Amino acid sequence: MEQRMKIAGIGGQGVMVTGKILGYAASDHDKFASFLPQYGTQMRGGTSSCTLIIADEEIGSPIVSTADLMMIFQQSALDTYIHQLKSGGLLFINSNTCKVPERKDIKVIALPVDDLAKEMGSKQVANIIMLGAYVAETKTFTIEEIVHTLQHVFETKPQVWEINEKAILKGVSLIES
Amino acid sequence: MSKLFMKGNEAIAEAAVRAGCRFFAGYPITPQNEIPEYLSKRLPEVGGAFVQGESELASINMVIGAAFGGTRAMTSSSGPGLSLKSEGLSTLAAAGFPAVVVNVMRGGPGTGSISGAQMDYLQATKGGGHGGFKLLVFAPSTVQEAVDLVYEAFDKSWEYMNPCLILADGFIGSIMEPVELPPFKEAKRQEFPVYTTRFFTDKPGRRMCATMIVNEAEQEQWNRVQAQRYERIAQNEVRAEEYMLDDAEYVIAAYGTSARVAKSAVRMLREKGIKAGLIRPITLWPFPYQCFKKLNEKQVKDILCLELSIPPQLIEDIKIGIEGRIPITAYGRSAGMIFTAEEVTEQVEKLVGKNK
Repeated sequence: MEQRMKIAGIGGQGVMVTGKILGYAASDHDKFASFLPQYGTQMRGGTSSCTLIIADEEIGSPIVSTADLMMIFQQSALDTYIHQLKSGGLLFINSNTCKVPERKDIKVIALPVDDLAKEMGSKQVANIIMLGAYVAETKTFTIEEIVHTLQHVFETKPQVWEINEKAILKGVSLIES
Repeated sequence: MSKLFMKGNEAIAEAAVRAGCRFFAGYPITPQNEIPEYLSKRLPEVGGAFVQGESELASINMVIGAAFGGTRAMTSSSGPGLSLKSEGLSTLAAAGFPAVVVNVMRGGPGTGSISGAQMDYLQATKGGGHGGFKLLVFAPSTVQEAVDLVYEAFDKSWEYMNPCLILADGFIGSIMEPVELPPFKEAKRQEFPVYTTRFFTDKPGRRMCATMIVNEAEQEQWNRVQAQRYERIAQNEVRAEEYMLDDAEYVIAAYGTSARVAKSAVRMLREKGIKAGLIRPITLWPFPYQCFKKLNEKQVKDILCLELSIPPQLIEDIKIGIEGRIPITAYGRSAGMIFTAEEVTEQVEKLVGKNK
């Protein structure tokens, strides 16, 4: 198994955090992973993207030119990267900010994660809802595994753990329902 | 032991602490800033000292002092900073002092672009400063290897009483990967096995830091001692990885991040039925010439020198190893631009086409 992934949006949407959490999860559960961040030069609002590879074997190139999977949080990022998604690839998009692309050769999972996050009381957990959907759809990790990793990530911030746990389970429920 | 998911620069810093490094002085420069940032917090926790020097020159000079005091010491920078530190590096080498220096390379001469590249090969291996000294140069290609090599670099620099350089690129510095960290070594002040002055004075017990030898005969004697040291390093420390070379007709030569991309390309080429292989130097000095000398010119049709450098630099050493027996083609990207495995595959396929 080698899953080559691009996660992209604009600064502040949790793009890097999402990638890192998946890296932590891979590392926690004896998989190989590489996370390569690409920052814009803007302080805020610039494009933010990262490349994440999760594999069962040692990873060669940490660069991804054709992705198996994408998680996109902003239309501008979708426009930039959509052509890099392989035919038959899987695309997760934030439907509050992105239009479903015209490509017919990919599977699109469009979720209004911004609205859902606001309903839950914190717009900051939109990326975690998406992460839940990713785990439920791809089964790269079990729900228990990702929750376990998230617990570690939020160890030093217990005040936000509860809402993040709810968010990940919300994401899972969107796929499983 | 469970693995941690760490950024290359931070993993390098933690590996140094575990290797017993208790002094760091440096001056900020992208793309290595996480090393001093991490150590500014970490070294005081273990009883060490972190200094942000007022300049690169001051930083390397503080490292000279710390090394002479018997402390495991490190500094880190990127190409432009290494240039400024080259005077101090030469002094470390002239005195026979151990220290570890990290260069996280960026993308060009002058200030260069701040993204990752491999533009300092010749500086690291041929001209780290004046006076004909040599550094033991390690080039990691994964975060785990960076950790292992930094950890070992302190032992090696003390074993040979010679500074050791970790030549990483901005990709290794900024990438995050799972790593297994080595155990903590006891950090104790080490006595020097020899002093520069011991060769020349009638007072062998005297602690003296002599980085200038005025007497010609003594300087020559010291140069001979240095040359013997380099000979020992060259005999004992050459390291390289050979990947799918046994039946290879097309050999990619690459180090660091380039070698990882090359490895993916080799796998893709093999799937297409092209017999590709890889030679990955792990020590850049001493260079693994033997890996190239033993290639059979009746089997290997072409060598692709793959490097994040324009113009190519690694090719200079490959030429020495190949001695004109096999054609060498260079392919490079630079300045923060990086080749994909598909792009490298295409380059090798071009060589295959040329040989048909």
